[in-house]
Amino acid sequence: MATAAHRMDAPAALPDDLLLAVRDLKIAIGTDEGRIVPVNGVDLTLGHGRTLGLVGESGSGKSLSTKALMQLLPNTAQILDGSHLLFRTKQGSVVDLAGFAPRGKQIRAIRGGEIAMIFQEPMASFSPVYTIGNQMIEAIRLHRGFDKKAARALAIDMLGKVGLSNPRLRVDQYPHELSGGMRQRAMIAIALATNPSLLIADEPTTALDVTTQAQILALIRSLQDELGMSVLFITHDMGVIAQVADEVAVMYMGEVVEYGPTRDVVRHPQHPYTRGLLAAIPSIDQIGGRLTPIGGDLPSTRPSGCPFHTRCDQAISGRCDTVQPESTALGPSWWARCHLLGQAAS
Amino acid sequence: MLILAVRRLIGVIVTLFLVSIMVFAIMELPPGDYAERYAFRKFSGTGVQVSESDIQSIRIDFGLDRPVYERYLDWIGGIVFEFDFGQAFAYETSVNNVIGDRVFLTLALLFVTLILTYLLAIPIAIYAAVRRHSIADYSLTVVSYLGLALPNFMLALILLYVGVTVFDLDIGGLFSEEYEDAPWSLGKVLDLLAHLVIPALVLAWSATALQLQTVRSTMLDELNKLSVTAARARGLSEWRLLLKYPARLAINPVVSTIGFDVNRIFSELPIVALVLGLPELGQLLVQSYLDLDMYVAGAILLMLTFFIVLMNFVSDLLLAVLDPRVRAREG
Repeated sequence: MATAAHRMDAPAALPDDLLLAVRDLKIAIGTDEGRIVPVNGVDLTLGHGRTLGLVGESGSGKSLSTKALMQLLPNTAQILDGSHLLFRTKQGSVVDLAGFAPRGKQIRAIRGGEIAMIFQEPMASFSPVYTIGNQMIEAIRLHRGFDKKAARALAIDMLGKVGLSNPRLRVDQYPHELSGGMRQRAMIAIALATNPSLLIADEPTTALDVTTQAQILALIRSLQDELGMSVLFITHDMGVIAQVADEVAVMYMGEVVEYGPTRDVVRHPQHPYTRGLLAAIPSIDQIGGRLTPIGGDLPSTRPSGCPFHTRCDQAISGRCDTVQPESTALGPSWWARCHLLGQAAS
Repeated sequence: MLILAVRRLIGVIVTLFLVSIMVFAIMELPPGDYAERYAFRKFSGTGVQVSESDIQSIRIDFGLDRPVYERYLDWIGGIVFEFDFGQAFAYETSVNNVIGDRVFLTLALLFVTLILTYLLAIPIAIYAAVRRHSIADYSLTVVSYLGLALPNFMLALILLYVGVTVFDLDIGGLFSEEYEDAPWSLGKVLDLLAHLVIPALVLAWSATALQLQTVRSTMLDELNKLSVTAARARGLSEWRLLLKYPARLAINPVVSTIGFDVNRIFSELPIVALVLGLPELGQLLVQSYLDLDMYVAGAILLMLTFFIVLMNFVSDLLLAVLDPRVRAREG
């Protein structure tokens, strides 16, 4: 049985073609009812200039995992020992972000400067009382050391680059003076003005209407070609992933259940959960046909064995509900965690 | 911004006009007038019989016999065009002379109280919100509930007692003896400020307690906003982003309630002033009602409402300066 080819024994080693490797990330949160572990052993890799799509239901831990990269977790959350967030800085050194203090200088240099983030709600991402330019120039001056004038010039330049008409006017406007799509463009401009090597996009199109969604996706793609940054794209929408991602990681209950090239995963999904997600996408070809939802609800606590066995129609009783599946390699960079695959291979 | 200012200014003028009519109506309300009171004072116990016609002639002397609207126009005209608040009968001089100094002292007390309130409430509340659930936060909550529950004349008495017995302070009145009748000088101003601290503290007490709660809860709301996370994700240092983003918005409710604070301070002033022996307007207002010295009462009421309306106007403008959404909404 081929297992764990993607796991590295030496945690500090990051192959040259990778910008980021998340290894065995575990996050615990203290709640009133006790401690829960919503992220329980996440493994991801992201290459230079590539786009990784992180897909999963609400509560699957995808947002938490990416917040951990920037040490933006809530105060009650904690990254557990043994988690590694290896990241290659612009200077070329490899750092483990998991070891950085959430308020320290080191992570502040990474935030905005090396890893930038855009959020689901563009309106709420801006402070309503400062102009777009003000919030943009602040980041540019902080990370690039520009003076006010140069920072403003760059801000105007970036606003033009993300396709806002009349950037000279926009730079002095307040967020409420822009439309939703324009705000998300402005947010992208802020994020990319500091020339980060990684852009984390946390459901950036979910709050937008469909035509605007397509424009924003195209914009991120073209800026990626131009600026060469890597993108970590979080969404619950498999359809969006198919459009933007080179690789896809499917998350379920705090674990990555399948990881691989988007083409392969979308065409030949191997994990039953991935198949379920794909079957639930509405498609023009199937008008009249009914969508197939995944049965059942997300359990409130993590079941033993394979976390998906409570909703899986192929679950093998006595195995799936007791033994946690190891990952099975399906290709050079394609793997899934499912007992069915292990059986087929052996 | 200019349109908003002009619109609000028109509102202020209309309000002040209506208020002046109401004040004048209140002046007319008590039964009897100063002519009767004057006659009673002058001749009671002297054995002189005062007839209705004697009172009528006193009334004519004072100009109190003319119809209401004429007296109103005369009164308001004098105030607006000559800044003359009329005759203070009981003091046998003009109202301006009687209330002049006291207006100034009341305003000094008002502004020192406001500044003290905001200097205490805003930073402490922001700190408490940021360090939520800390011991500091809980003790502040207790103190601020105490502030809301404890009547301020009680506090005034306690401070008086402690000040006199422990610190040997001279906290009655507004000036030390040597400055009481001295002309204005730097020394006198400093002496006044020193005397204002205790009364201002007493008056600021409940306002601070209230604003502490307001600012703290707004700050807590703001801290959870996505825009704060976004700013943090841009790499700003914690205190810098706290002051720039949530704190800036947390003072909005304070700014928009300046008028209420002024109102509250004015309402609490008389009783505190009585306890601390301060010469201010409230006490004079009560006295002038007892004397039926209506122009003094009218001038004081008009002054107080004028400052409440004015501070509301200032608060509206400040809010528009602070929040572009307000400017956008109101042009």
